Amino acid sequence: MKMNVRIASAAYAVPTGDEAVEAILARERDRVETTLAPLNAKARQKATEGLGLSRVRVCGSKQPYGLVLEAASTAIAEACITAQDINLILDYSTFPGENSQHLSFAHKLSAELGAETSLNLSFKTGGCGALHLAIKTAMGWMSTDESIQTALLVTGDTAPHGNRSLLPVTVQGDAGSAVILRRQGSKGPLLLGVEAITLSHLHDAIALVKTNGHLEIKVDAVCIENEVMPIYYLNLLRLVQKVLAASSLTLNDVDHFIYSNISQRDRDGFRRMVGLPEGGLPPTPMAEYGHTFASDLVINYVHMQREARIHPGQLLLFASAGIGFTWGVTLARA
Amino acid sequence: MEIKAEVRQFIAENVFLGVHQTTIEDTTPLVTGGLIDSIGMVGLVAFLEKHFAVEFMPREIDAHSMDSLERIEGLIRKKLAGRETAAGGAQQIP
Repeated sequence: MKMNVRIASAAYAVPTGDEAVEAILARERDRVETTLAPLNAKARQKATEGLGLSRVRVCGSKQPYGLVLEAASTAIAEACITAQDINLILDYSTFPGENSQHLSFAHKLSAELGAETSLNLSFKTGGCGALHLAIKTAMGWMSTDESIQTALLVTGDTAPHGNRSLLPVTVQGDAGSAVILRRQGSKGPLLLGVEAITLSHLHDAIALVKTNGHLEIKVDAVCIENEVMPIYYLNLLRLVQKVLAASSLTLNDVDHFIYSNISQRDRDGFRRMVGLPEGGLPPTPMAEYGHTFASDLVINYVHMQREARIHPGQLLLFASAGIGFTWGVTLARA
Repeated sequence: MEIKAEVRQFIAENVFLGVHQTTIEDTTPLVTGGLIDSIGMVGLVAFLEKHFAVEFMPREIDAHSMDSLERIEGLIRKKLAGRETAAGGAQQIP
């Protein structure tokens, strides 16, 4: 990667309200049972074990756009820039809210923040893997347009009403997050590489459909079990190896793996994949936030910063996979 | 080339630990039977690619294509045959 682009800042916002995962699964019992019905008994049992999630944050009066605005304002302040410095805003929200009236968060955000001349884009790539595609997209713009020096990447997501369970995978909480990338900057981790793949034949594994006028998330548990999971870590590992090899690095060089909060069992799988011992991944607030799609990586990164776990010169590897089905990995040097 | 025997030995020694090779029959369901999980799949595919000098595209791998020694052998033979054809060779695969 020839350009000097850094993660100047990152921030997130979560709603104040929360709900117990147990209560959610009880309320959505019919939907959960229907989803898991095609699985064998062992797989059904596995679906609810090892989640590692106890509560999730739930949007009330503050909807995803409000969370994005809060996160973006914090990120701008922490990057020591003003909104006028932002040349590109990318909104990569997966579930921005059923009642979202905006063309995209990017346009409204640009106006409200005062980033009047920013180029505003929105795309859906799906869930947890979207951050990597947003970074890659921003870097693409930067590489072809000298005037784009600063990019604001945002996502704000809330589960459609009655659709918090994504079993056999996870349970969804609400959050918004923002990342500021700066070209030729000196603050924050330097991006070394981004790799991503999407396998479109798995697009229906987790799909958003409209039933009786309401959005509904349909999880194809059999597809997840038989088609996604056999290649889930395989694809992640291939991307990890690819992004590291491009910088002449290996897994042993990575100081911190920043991985999503889908479930404890998934985090254990990732940990085994990269060869870390038990407890080798840094703690995250997943038990209290649930899985928040692409905000997971931002939340975990911000927590590591707050806990002063990241030191100058350390190698950070961000990895996640989600709806699409999309796998992504980003490598950065702090 | 005794593909099934080599894969059986790898699985017994590296993935399906603690189980004697003879208990892995040609049709034993490895993935759908829960014997090989998604992490085990990472090791299995790495072995197959290295040992048989083949490369799998992500779409080629799922619970069914890798679910038994019989199917794995079929997949490998298909790969090897494709490679022979691409190389213009007419060698028979034993």
